[in-house]
Amino acid sequence: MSKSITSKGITETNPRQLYNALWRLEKVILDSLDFTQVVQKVVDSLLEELEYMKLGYEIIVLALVEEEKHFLKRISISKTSSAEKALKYSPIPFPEIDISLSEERNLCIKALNTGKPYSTEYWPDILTPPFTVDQATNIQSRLGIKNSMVFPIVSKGESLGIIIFSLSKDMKDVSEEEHSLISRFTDVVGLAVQNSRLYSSLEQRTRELGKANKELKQLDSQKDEFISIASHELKTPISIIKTNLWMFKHVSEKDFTEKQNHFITEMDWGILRLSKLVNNLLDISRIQEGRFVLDVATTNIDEVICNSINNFKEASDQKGLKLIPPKTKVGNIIVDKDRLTEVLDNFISNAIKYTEKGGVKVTSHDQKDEVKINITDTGPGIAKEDMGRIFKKFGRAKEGLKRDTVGSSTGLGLYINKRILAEMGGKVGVNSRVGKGSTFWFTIPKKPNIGMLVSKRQNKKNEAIKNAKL
Amino acid sequence: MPDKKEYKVLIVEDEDSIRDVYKEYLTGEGFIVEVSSNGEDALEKIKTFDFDAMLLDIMLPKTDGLEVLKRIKSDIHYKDKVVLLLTALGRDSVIKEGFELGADGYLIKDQENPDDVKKNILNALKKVGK
Repeated sequence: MSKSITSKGITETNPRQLYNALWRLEKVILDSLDFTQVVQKVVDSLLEELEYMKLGYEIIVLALVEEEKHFLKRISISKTSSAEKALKYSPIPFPEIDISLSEERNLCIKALNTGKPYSTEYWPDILTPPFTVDQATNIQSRLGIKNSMVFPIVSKGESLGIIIFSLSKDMKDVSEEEHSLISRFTDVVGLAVQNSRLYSSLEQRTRELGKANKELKQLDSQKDEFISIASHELKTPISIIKTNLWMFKHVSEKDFTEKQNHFITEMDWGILRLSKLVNNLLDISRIQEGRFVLDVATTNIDEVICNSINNFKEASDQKGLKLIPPKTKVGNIIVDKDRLTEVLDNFISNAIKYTEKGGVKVTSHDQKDEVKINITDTGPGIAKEDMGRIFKKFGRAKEGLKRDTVGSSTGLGLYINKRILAEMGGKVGVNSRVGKGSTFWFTIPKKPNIGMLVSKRQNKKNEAIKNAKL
Repeated sequence: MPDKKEYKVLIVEDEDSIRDVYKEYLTGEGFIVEVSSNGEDALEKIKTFDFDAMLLDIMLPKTDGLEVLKRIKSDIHYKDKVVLLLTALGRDSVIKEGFELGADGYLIKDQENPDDVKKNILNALKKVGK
């Protein structure tokens, strides 16, 4: 009862009109990328744009292959009164009319598999299963459908699905023009479906990425909070150990043996290192939470540099290194002295730590509105691949993972320097050649700029908000 | 020695170990020491203990250190007393708040040893002319 529709090709009759019609359909369908919109337009455009209802086109249905589930699934149905009735009479809800791809006798599957269009005057051909023959013939007669055409939707050689056109006229009354148009129309549908599927999966991916990003941000703030709480909690036991160790050394009545002294020194060293690490972590959480405060005052920067250098005299002497202070004077600037000292200490201790021969030189340069300070060492230098890493959190050059005698290394010093200098309105950088040594440099404004004062006020505000929550 | 005047110090600190060490060391150095482990108790104690200097932990149970500081510095009887804040945190914005409330100084617990604490107390007392 069903038969293959043989292509009649583009007829001599009015090819121009055909292309014009096709162009109008394309415009409507390809106008949108949203899958839901596209599939609805596919079934409506022929009726709405070209008024095919007048030609007896009662119902148009789009069904697409569900790859993973191996069936053909109903996707959209035209907004026509016949379609409405069909939905009403159907024993199975429209979205659940699935046809297994193995039902080779079903005309829809046949069109899908062969890539050829078919027509039938007998609805069970296209609806059984899942409908029974009775159900299918019953609905067909109630709707007065005389003929249905099933066209495959093919894109890039792949069968994506089918379109069913159900007509209130016989197959012989389908004109060549209609047939040509529908045949080409299904090609456009193939393209539109594929595009919108790509777009939908892109949208889906974007949504997933957005969600993942949100989760990562949450994790990141939980991590910050954890660091903040953990370092607060660690401070107290550290104080207890340090204070009691000090008492043990200074208040104990007896003299210690050399061995005992060694143990005490080791404990001192360990607790110093722990304390430094926790302080660094606290600094970082302060900066991240906007609780970082600068306490600026007029300060002689030459003295600050000299004091910092003096603090490391013993350490550099021990390693046989020269530690050379700046020869030039800069004078007074307005700065947070303790933070500047912290920055200098971090740079100088790093330089001494990584230098085995030669020395460390500190120079200062008066540059109009800012001061530039260089810390140059004769250490191993930094490999290009490590350059990007060293100013990051816990970033260390590969050589950096060693126990040192100068101070404790947490892998946070340079990161903290960078952040502190950023808060102060300064810049930081490094020039280095492997085997020659490194020069770390930073600049610091002579006066804090307005931006900093604003951000300081903002900090206070943030804190007020924070406290209010607590 | 001339500075061997017997200064009275109140240590307000909830951490037993720290409190005991400071007490032991300062007593050994000739101070008269009283201790308190929370803010409310401290405010009660100062009514009878005529202290010269107070070591005041900021994070305390019940009434916190900053609240105790505020009450002391706004009370005519105590406003000239020396109050040094004790903090575990190190330099923090809370210290600034402490100074605004009239603190005479601050001590970071894991960075100052008991002798530093003593020196800080004596310096602060000297500053106010005691």
